[in-house]
Amino acid sequence: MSAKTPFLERVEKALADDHLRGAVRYTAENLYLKRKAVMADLDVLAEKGEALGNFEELRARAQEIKRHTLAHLDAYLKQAAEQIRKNGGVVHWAKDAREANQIVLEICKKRGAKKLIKSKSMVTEEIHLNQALEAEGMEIVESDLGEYIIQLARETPAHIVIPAIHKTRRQIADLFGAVAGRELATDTKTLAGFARATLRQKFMTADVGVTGANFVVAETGTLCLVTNEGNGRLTSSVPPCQISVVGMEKLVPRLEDLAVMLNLLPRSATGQKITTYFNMITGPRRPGEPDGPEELHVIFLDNGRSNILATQYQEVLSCIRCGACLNSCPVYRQLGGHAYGSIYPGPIGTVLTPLLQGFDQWDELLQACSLCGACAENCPLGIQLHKHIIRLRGEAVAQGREHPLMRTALKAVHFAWTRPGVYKFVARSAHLGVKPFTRRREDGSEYLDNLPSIAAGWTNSRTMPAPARKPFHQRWAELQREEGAK
Amino acid sequence: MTTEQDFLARVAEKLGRSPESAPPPFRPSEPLPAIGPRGKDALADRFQMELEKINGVVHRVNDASEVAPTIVRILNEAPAADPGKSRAGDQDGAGTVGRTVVRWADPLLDEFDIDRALEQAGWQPVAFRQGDDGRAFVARVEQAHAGIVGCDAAIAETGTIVLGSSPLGGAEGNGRGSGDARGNGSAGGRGRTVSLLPPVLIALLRKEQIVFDSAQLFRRLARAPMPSQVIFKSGPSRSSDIENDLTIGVHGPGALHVILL
Amino acid sequence: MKVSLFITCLADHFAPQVGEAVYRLLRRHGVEVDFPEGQTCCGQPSWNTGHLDDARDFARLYMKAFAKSEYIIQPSGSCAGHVRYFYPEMFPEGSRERQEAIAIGRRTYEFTEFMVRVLGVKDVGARFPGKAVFHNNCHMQRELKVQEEPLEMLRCVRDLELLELPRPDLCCGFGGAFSIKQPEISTAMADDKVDAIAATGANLIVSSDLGCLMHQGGRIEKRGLPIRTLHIAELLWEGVQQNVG
Ligand code: SF4
Repeated sequence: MSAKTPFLERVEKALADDHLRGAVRYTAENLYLKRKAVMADLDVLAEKGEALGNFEELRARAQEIKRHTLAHLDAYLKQAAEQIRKNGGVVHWAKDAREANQIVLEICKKRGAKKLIKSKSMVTEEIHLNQALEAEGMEIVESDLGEYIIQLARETPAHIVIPAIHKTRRQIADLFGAVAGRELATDTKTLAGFARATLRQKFMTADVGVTGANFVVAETGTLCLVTNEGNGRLTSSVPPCQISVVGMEKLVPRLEDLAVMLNLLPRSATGQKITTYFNMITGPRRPGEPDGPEELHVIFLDNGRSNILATQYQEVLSCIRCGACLNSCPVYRQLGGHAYGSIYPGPIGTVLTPLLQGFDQWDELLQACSLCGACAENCPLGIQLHKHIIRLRGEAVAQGREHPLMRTALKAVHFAWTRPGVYKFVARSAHLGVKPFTRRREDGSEYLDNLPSIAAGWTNSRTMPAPARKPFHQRWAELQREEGAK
Repeated sequence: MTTEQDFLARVAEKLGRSPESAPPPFRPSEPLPAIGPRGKDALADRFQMELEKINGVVHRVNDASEVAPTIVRILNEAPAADPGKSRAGDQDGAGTVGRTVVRWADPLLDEFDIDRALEQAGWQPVAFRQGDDGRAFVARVEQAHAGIVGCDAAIAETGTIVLGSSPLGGAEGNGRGSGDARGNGSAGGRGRTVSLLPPVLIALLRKEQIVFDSAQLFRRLARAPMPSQVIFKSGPSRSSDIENDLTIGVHGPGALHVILL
Repeated sequence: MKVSLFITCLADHFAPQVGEAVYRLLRRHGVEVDFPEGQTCCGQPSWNTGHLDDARDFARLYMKAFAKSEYIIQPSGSCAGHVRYFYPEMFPEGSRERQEAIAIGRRTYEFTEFMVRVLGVKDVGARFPGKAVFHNNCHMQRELKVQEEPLEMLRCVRDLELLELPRPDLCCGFGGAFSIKQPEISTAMADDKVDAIAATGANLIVSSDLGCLMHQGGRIEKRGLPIRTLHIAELLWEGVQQNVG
């Protein structure tokens, strides 16, 4: 068989890393269970008339909001841009990562800004903003605790909500210790306290704060940030200039629509009814206000998103990046995020990455899925992720992106099994064909082992039942005779 | 660089039509239902219960005259969670967080004579006055022991307080906020950082400001111009980024006290 | 009442006794059973690997073989789920074939689903000593939404101790071709599942999906664990015989 691809190498590495697997499994399980409990509570509250709806109802509402918005996305973007300008903000448009980074750089240059602080944002990871700025000699510091940890480790996030999901407190203490220049205790309080103090200084001296946005309200041009730590608020309150990079699909039409989203996002992400901070930013600081940024820039980013519009994958753009699909994914649970190789891991990453960036590097991701459907079941937007994975596999196969032996095997099965006569013949003779691999147990029953070629993938770690000498369809005739004799 | 026109034209083209000049009004197939109890007391009870679940502290007072003494009591009894260690200015262990307390200069707080009570108790109140330098103010806020703000509203369902960078408009008449129905957009005496940088946050809330759910609040916000920043704050700052272990007070305040009048 | 049996390619090849058990249990409850000619495989292997046109051929074959059947019973939640959930997807909206696919999906049942929901039979009169966990396969719980039925039937089995499995919803890693294409991930998932089952003290894994059972059983055999795997129909039928005998 051919040499290991980079993807398979990453998978192997992840599976061999017990630390990582233990940490990921622990946190993903925790988040999954918390989400499940809070959704069960929600259903009870809805029953009592104390919630805007149960999970299914809210999900249907959220879908309706997003479907409508995406269908009129150009008009909503226009409306949002007009409002943002009316509020005193500046709107920029970036068709790809390069343009977005360029815009950020130019804003910084114009202000003479050198130091940036960032609150947690996946879209700036997507465009590799940090690298672009660092290449120009700027300092950009992540302020979300998890992002800060992985920035120090010079890694990418391993989870879209919990970036340092794979790090143990020992590893975190070592990373922080290197910054502090002394040994740190490993308790959460010490570590979080150290980060707070260090980052506070960064906040006070930053020239620019960079954020993403969880939602943008078109009718008011309001940017919404959902956080627990307060880094989103700091980033948008303390530095004199704020730049928000926003995926163009993040719009909702009205303020009221936020109620639906706010009921779903924290519950789905961390199992909270609500996060500590929900921050709505409508323009920069106004005359007479003591603080807040004097400049507010919003960069709307396409970066491949428009290619998804009006295709069978359009609903993927309604994703609110809650991470519920990761936490419920049995494959993510084994691998963590880095094995995927993409900024977006797990089910949403498996679908979104090839859609945004093409198959060339990413078609293999599509194989890292057992199609169990847990992702779609838990997704607050009901995105049929596993269906999309099948569709994308279909496109990849149509382009000839497939292991040749696998293709031959599947084509042979199709040939034989769509012809019932051939099917029967094959079924009856199967036990003969696998004779060299048939083993006998103590009780006389048979099984297969050491199968060749692609089937070795099975028998390397599992035995396989031996085909019956008499398949059921042959047995059927006997059953009928028996019945007739009664 | 891509222009707005090109960007939007591409989106429209992908959607298979020419650009729309304005979005059609969005009308969900069913309006959001009215939910929850309505009575002031029921809302207050629920608010308290929910906030306590997420580590907030509620102090009930019956009379405006009790507000200032309650603030003093909170300040005296509940020193910031390890303020010396967690403050940027105090890294070398000088520990001089001082006795500064920042507060909004806002009609929401005016009637309680807070400054005098603070001074009598040995605390030093600071507020932003028109004409002050903003950066200098933020630097002082950063050094303060606590921040005192008034709530513009609260949401019982989630134990959430709502704070605007200026008063919210759009009240339906019962809210005794300082904002008029249009929202006034520029009340200078507040400050976003007052509720954010000090380790302790004390917020004053009146029972009649509480609504049950966020949808009611968003509808109210939609009736008037939005302040430059509106936050929903639900409990003290928290993180679970270290081995999924909950920790309180990461960037924002580690203690949240709501005085419920 | 008359039903048709779709044996599934896996049971036909590897576990004919499962088909026999289904047949006998149905007969025991007075149901007439036929076995239409022309049936082979539901087509999941093609569909799941992205051979979408090939998968459509299988769907057509199934729809033809069972065109006249009022009830189609399968000893597999996975294949029944595939028919009900994915067949309609394969044909253009508004087409006659899509209508047929939707209709045949409605007439297709997983075995325990049919027993409990249609026949109203939970207790088949079985006795089967052992400590069991039930493994529900993914399509069965999510696409068919069949969760309680097999458990209800197992609870009626005398001397069978049904143990609680933590995270019963979690996929065991079979996933059809996935188990061969990504054997390392698939095996890691199997290990998690098997470890969780072993921790309950069970000596028996019961399921309504032969794929999952082959996968878990094959792993168990390699690891030398004392746990047996058994299809639910087989268990019930063995149990009926034990009870009578
Ligand atoms: S796809 Fe759904 S579950 Fe996954 S991150 Fe997006 S919204 Fe959340």
